[in-house]
Amino acid sequence: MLGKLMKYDLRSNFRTLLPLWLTTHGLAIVYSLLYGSRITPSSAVGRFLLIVLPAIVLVLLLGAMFTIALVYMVRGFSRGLLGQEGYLMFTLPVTPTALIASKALSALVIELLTGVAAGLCCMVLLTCNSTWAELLGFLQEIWTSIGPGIQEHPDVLPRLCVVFVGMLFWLLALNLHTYLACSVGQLSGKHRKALAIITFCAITILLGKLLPAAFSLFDLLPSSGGLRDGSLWALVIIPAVLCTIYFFATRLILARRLNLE
Amino acid sequence: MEANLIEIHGLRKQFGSLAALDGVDLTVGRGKIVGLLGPNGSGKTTLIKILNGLLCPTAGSVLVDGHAPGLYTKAAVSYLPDKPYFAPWMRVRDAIELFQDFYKDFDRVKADDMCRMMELDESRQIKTLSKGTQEKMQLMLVMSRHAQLYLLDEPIAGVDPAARDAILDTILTNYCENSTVVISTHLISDIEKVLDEAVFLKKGRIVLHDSVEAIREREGKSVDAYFREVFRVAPVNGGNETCSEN
Repeated sequence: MLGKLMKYDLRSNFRTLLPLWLTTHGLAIVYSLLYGSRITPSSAVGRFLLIVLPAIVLVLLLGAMFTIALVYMVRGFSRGLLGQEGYLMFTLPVTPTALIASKALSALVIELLTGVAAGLCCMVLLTCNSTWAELLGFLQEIWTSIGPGIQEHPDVLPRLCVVFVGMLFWLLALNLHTYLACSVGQLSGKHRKALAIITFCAITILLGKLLPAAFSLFDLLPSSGGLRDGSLWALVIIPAVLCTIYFFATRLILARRLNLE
Repeated sequence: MEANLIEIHGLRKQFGSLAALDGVDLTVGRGKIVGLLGPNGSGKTTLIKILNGLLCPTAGSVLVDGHAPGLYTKAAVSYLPDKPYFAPWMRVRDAIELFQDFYKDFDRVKADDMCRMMELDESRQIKTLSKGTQEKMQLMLVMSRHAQLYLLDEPIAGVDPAARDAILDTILTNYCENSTVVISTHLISDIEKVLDEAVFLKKGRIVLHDSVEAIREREGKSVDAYFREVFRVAPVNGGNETCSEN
């Protein structure tokens, strides 16, 4: 059931995001061709239209990609579960656990794909000042130096994996933090949005007090390098604990106190 | 399988200081078409939402086929809300596939037949359909399931009289005979002909629950006329009106 739910969540997001990603990439390619062609118009207006304006539009589109991913993360839950569409979702024969997990994981996938799309855009822009052959040669050089580098520092790759997993958990914790705030908000009759925002801010402030103490606990653990580094595992364990707390609190509210008026 | 499909005891639902439901006791058997009748604000939609698990009661118990609202009841209940509930990006085809994906009792062949009968274009986006057509589409999905309980919230409100007849015919010809249909409405005259039982709901309380035949025999008038009598409201500047029709 989780897979089916995610299928519909991702379909609804891709319909808007895919054209945006493709448009941004298309503009990045056009801009890199324009800039790489070294055509320099003589007039200021010409330079603005050919060089400056596409750059501004590109930066705005890249910003829009991340903004829309964030908006969809929030809206996917607040409208998709707690709005009119909630009448459909909460009458499907699926558990609140599956509904919340589907929204959180779909939002995570969208956030990751948005990051990949932005990264690819930046790679395209790198060709402004170099040819594709030069860029590929540079990437090949990095790739061939990875092997000897790993042999010399064998703990780097596992540490990077732990950092990557930690990053995923932090993103997931952000999603679930937002969903918990929305769930608390729906408990109120008239002031749902206000209560949701207040709850979000209150949890953020509380985290601001607790997180430094939590990180310092891990610093006390003995560290002998490599993966035996308390502060490294703090990057994974702390957000994992936060995800667990947020998830079960959200589930408790939606299972026992759902209020789709 | 329980003898009674719906069992409600001492049900209360409070929204702040407002008691939307105030001590409702109701038992509904199988194979019935039951009208949940009452004026606006009487608690019909609140009761239906609690049966669906969309609202949690303040007090009391609700059982559908012996189970509290949850996974089992969601698979057994087919619900038609009073408003459209599909995502704006969906086409009719997407909605049919969603129902087929999640409901084991969904009959795709029946859904396709009903689409043809209603002249529904599966490639159309749901948000571009007229209100009446959206109602028909949602009804098509709901009635294509072989559910134990059909909960239809205001299925004929806001549609023209010809469409109302079509919707009522669709309900009558497509529900499973061992199943129960609960229709909430305040348009009694249109729905009376299809009802087996009537439940009158007033200010969150049940004031009457009887078979339609018994009501007609006892009161010597139609359910619609009796409803107007029970829910008569004195207008502000005099006259002789009821609050049953809007």
